[in-house]
Amino acid sequence: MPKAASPKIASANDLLGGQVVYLQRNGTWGLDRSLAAVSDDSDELEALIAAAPREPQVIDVALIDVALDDGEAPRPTALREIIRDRGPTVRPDLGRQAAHDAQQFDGSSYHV
Amino acid sequence: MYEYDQFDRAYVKARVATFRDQVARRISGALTEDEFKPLRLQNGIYLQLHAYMLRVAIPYGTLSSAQMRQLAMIAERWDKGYGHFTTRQNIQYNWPKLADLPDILDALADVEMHAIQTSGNCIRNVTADHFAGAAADEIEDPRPTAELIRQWSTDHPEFAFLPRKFKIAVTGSPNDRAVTKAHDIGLRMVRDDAGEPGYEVIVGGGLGRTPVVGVVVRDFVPKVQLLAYLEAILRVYNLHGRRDNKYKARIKILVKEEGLDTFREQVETEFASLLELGGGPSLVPDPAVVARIEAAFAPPAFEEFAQHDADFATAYAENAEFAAWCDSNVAQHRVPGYGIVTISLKAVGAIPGDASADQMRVVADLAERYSHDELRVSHEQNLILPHVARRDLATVHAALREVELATANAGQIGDIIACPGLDYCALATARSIPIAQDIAQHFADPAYARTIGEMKIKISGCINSCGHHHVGHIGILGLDRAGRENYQITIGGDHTETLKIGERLGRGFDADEVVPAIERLVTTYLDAREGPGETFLKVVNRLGTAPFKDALYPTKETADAA
Ligand code: SF4
Repeated sequence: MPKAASPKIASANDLLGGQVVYLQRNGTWGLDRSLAAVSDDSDELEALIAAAPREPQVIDVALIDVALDDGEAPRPTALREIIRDRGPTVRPDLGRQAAHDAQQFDGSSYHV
Repeated sequence: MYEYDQFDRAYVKARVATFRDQVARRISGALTEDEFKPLRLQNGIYLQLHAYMLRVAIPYGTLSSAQMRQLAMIAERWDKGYGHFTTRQNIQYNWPKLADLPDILDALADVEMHAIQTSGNCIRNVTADHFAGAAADEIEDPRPTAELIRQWSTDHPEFAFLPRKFKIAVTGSPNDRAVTKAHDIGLRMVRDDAGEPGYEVIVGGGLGRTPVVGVVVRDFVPKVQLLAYLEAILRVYNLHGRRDNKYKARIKILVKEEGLDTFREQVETEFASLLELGGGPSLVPDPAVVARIEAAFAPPAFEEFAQHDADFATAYAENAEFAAWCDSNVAQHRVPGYGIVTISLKAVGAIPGDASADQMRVVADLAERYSHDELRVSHEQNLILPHVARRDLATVHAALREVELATANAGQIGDIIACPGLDYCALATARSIPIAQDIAQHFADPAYARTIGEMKIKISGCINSCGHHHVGHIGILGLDRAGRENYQITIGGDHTETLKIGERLGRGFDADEVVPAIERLVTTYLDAREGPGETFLKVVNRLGTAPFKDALYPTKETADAA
């Protein structure tokens, strides 16, 4: 039996700043992960990516696996994507984590 | 210090202007990313996890105070207030914005710096002994050679698209501090029987996925023929190096596949024909050019001091912290009364190689005042003040202490090389920095670290080995095992003239098992050594890896007996 597809979101880097952006439910690229379009159908996400407006320009588009906790924003599961999303674990003062959820992200812990 | 001439200045500025136009066209959409990416890479700009990363060349790791201040200014104005010094003697900025990059490159050009050939399949920034021009054991300053190679290789049209990147390192000392045997070409300055200086040429070394110890392809190349010999090697490589498989494209694979004798024959044939043709000015440099370069590296005006300085002796006797720092971080200078200061970028809890803009400025001020305006970046991710009078050491130490740069751990267990790893690097499979921080924290007691003695721990966040883990006395390689960070440990690596690749001891460890594993290796070493003079590496060489393997992976019997 083929493995059930896990839910995914589309991520990319913004051309101008290089920071991580997500494809939003409204079909545009934005910073807010809680608004990211989630699907376990890669084709559906690819179609959304193709239809997204060209501003902001994005590079390195990829689909990433997420976990869905009740009522929470989709959460990346791979460590690489967690770090991309938040910022370096060794510098909690930098990256997206510095703006919002530094306290949730204990840089000294291996269990990010 | 080498200074740009009119041509260099115009060339670097023109490159920035071209790139400015390319960035504008990318932002307007006139260039696609596929068109733009090779252009940005040619200017040292990568896309990493969080942002762009700019890799700036520091040729042979030498910097002036003005250059260091400019690096600090860039860190503050266009980045997040710090920079990362790497094992390639470069500096990397982790957060620049695309639109700012032309301005940053312009600011670098203002102080005769650039990011050209810090990426791509070309001859990369040439590295050298970080004690060059100062070391007591030096035959000759390797930097004029490195500068000559820089001039020859910069924008060399024939070698702009090699099968893979190409790294050259030069040492002027028999005690190799430039890891020459782990480079595509390593040059060791030697003298022939008549006392004439020249080079022993080592080829085909490298770390990464397939670590290989470089081999001597020629015992002696006279100075004047160096560029012709390099050109011959590069031509053979350019012609026969594999382009079908990225993992087999480095010269180390070519040398292995062809066999050293065949490879050497090909190089010698090419070399002979180049000599026959007379080489032309690009291969037989104009003596005036050589003289200009050599003059730029003429030793500074050292004062005549007695080796004994009363103020130094008093400070050393009365201030234990200063004395410990002198013992570990000050190396012997070739001129009496001077020392070479290693500024550790490895304070306990610090990120190896990172320096804040404030720290960079303090170091620049100290270099200007106390080190003839010279600085170096070491492949061990530290900074060096190459020429400090012993009478000034206490003042320098006190100033460094103010900015947390006076950690007395050079060469010790806390002086860990760690690549950026998964915290920054798009290629990483695991984090390196937190592992380094945990080890440094665990061995933070200076007395314990001194008891352990010389210890080189090197950590890479993936098989690419930027953290030189293969040649660490203890090497740590971070991998991904089913979504979990896993760390393989090697021991017995050696990065010096007796370069050796470390041996893997067994299965990898989870992140939180690494420190206890290192502690077991250290305890095993301390129990086994024949005296404080016997370093960890010497014990591994004497006993082999078996006792260390037992310590890491006890069998049932040994565990029961313990
Ligand atoms: S070794 Fe790997 S993780 Fe570390 S900097 Fe190099 S490429 Fe990145």
